[in-house]
Amino acid sequence: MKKRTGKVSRRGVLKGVAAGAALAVVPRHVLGGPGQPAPSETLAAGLIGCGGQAGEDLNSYIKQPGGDYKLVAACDVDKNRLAAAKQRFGEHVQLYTDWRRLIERKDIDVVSIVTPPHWHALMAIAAAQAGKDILCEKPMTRFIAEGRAVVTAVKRYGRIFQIGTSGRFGAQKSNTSRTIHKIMQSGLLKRCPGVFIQKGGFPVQEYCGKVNLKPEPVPAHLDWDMYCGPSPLRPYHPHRFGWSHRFYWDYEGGGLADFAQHYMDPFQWIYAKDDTSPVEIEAVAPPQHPEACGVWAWVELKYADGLTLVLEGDKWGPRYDRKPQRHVSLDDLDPESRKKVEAMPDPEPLLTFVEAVKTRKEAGGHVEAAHRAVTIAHLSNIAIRLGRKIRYDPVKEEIVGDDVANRLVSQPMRDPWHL
Amino acid sequence: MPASEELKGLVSRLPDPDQNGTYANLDLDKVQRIEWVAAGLEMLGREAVLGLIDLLVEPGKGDDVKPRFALHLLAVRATRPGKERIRAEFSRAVASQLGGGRPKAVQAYLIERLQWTGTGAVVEPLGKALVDPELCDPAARALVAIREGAAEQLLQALPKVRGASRRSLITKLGMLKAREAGDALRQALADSDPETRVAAAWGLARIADASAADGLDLFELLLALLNCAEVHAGWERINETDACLALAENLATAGKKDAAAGIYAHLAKTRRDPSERHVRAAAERGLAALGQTSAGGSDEEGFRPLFDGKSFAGWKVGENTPKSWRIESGLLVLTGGSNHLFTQGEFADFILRLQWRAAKKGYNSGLFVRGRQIQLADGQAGMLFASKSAPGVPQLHNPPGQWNEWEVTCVGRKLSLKVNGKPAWEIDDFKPARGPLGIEAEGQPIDFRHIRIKTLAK
Repeated sequence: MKKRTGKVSRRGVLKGVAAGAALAVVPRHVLGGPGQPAPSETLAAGLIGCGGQAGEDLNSYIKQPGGDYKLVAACDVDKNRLAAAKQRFGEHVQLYTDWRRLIERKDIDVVSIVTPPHWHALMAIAAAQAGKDILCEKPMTRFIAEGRAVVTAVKRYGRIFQIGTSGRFGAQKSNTSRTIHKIMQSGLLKRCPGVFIQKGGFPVQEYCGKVNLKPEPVPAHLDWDMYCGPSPLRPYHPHRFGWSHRFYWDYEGGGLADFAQHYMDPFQWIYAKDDTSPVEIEAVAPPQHPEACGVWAWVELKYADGLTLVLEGDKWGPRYDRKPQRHVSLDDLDPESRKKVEAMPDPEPLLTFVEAVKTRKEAGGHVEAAHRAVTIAHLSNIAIRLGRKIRYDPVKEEIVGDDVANRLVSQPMRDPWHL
Repeated sequence: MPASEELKGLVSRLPDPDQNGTYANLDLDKVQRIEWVAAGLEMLGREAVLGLIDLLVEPGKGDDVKPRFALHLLAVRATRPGKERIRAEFSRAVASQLGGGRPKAVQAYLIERLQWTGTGAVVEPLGKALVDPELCDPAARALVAIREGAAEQLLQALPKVRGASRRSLITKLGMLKAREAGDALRQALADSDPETRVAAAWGLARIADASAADGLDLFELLLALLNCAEVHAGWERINETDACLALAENLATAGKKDAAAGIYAHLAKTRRDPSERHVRAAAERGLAALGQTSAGGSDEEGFRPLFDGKSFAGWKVGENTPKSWRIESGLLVLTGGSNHLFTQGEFADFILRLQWRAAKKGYNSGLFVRGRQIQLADGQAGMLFASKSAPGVPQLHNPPGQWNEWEVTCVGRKLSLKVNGKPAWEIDDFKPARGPLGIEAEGQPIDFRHIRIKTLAK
């Protein structure tokens, strides 16, 4: 309805309506009735992965106004780390080496997944199947098909999911970002002239894997088979375990995969691209080792509407020099469209995890957005690993005309694991 | 075939890793050298592939960093568009070195190259590797990646293996959605190993869609799956229940709505423990999407039409109405102008359903409900004015020229909107009132039809 003088005035329509914010509340039958945590209750939490990041997401996303958690269970494949967790989180925390036993517990409300990325999807899916809400560390997945399976599970069971990065919460506070979001959301900008360049902010040389690993005996305190999980069972080497898992394709995807989710989270929100993916991806990088991540220069990704996204390592090789950075603005619209966008209400504030758990509406860093954001990293790495341009169908979520590249989109898991 | 001196010399020209054992030290010169060595090896064809394989050793038994890397470089190069002949030659050469006496770890490396480059032409040697417990899963994974001819290989190996290998093959057949595996998967539902049972249930849910035939009795399958999910506990129950829900979704998508509803209704009725409320809720959502409730019955029960398709009966018509409205071919057509149309009746609590189709982009109209307006405008459709919790949902709408269905549920202080079957928003501060419904004329042409309402008693 436009602002105008006429028979039905805006004031007339609004007459009698209470102004001000209203908390969206969902009926009991959707909440499921008795047993669902009441707004003031403490969430019972389970933690999978007791390494360096353990507890960080629980603190960041739940210890907020109106929220609290009690850690009741922790799991790790390494008994030493598990023992350290007991020291850190308290005697009452029950310890597990098999994460499936933790998932089976009926008294856990939320699971925090802090393992290396090759385990994230399976654990998030199982947590959803078991009726838990989910905090999942970044990068959300190791390959693209995993993300779609997580989205399916989260939606099937009406769970709340929040990825372990929150740049969009800050972005939504910026007027410039909100304006771009509204422009992109309106559908009035037919061809997007935007060029978004993430220049640097990625470890490149630092996150290279070793190509000459010699097998070592598996430590007695480590369940190496469970650590490898859905990824190929390689001879044990300490560099494949712990912090440096980032440097191997089997568990993650180098600095690009490790950091992209942080940058793509706000980017996708600003440019209203949470529900789609780029269609053309081109990378500059040397030929890659099959197991160890290597160096890379830059990746250029293009969306169907013309938006260009560039991830630039800015540490190795040639620098990106095709297009300059260019944000979208109201000036890109014709006057009539501009007025319409200016009249649009501001986007709904993103819900925190705590608010989402209470209202059962999706959290700001929700599952589809997180899946699409990490997809950008995976598409980039596929282009890097194949050394050629690839085209992607964002609806079917398949690479077009390159069956080998598609084998990296969906990778068969090691027995007994499957999506 | 042993590597020739020429080959060894070529491979040795690949750059050495840096002192940390990585290739972080690659500069543009070293990259060029890699490309040059790879191109040289590619030109040597089959001889180079076999020679390189001969240089591979078990991990820890020597230094084969460069031949390993070289083999992978060739694999990736072989998959470039236009290189199908080279790819076929590479794959054949690699496949020819499976079986025989090479260390298992080396064979696994070769199998993994075939996961990159292999096609239907090399599934037989991979199929042979399935009976080796150490190579079964890597070979099965390569077959899944190749797809063409894979199911046949997995099925021929199934009777020959046991334990973890059997579980692996069952799971991989499920990954392939191999309908010819239906019987084998059904049998595996009763396997003594719980993980195999779970894999079988999961696989069956994937393959039992509309076109499923081939000895897969759908009714029996549903019973078997539901039974499995019910008698088991913990991890197995969680997984098998999910298989039931996944199957129901597949069946619904394939048009087998009765079968889907059967699964949902059963789960909605039986999963009453608070710990499984999310399962019950999923089942109830499934039923709702099929237009049913867990109590049974069609979704349109209790609705009466507000628009009879041929007259303005039930609507307030004045001398200006024809300036904005006409009725044509069963449609209530808004032509433009600014003369809103209101119902004669007044409503308090109800569920309203209607369909609308905008003629062109930039459309603008609105639905009046209890004196407030739900925006029906391009880019903002679905927004409730003056509410912070009821945003526009353009992404749920079909574009101009296509029909959209709205369902507005108004009960007490609650107002909710569903667009094309998907929930848009729900608010809880909608002031109770009794009033007519209305459609705003805002200068743009829009067609309306199937306007029906179910009034709800207080």
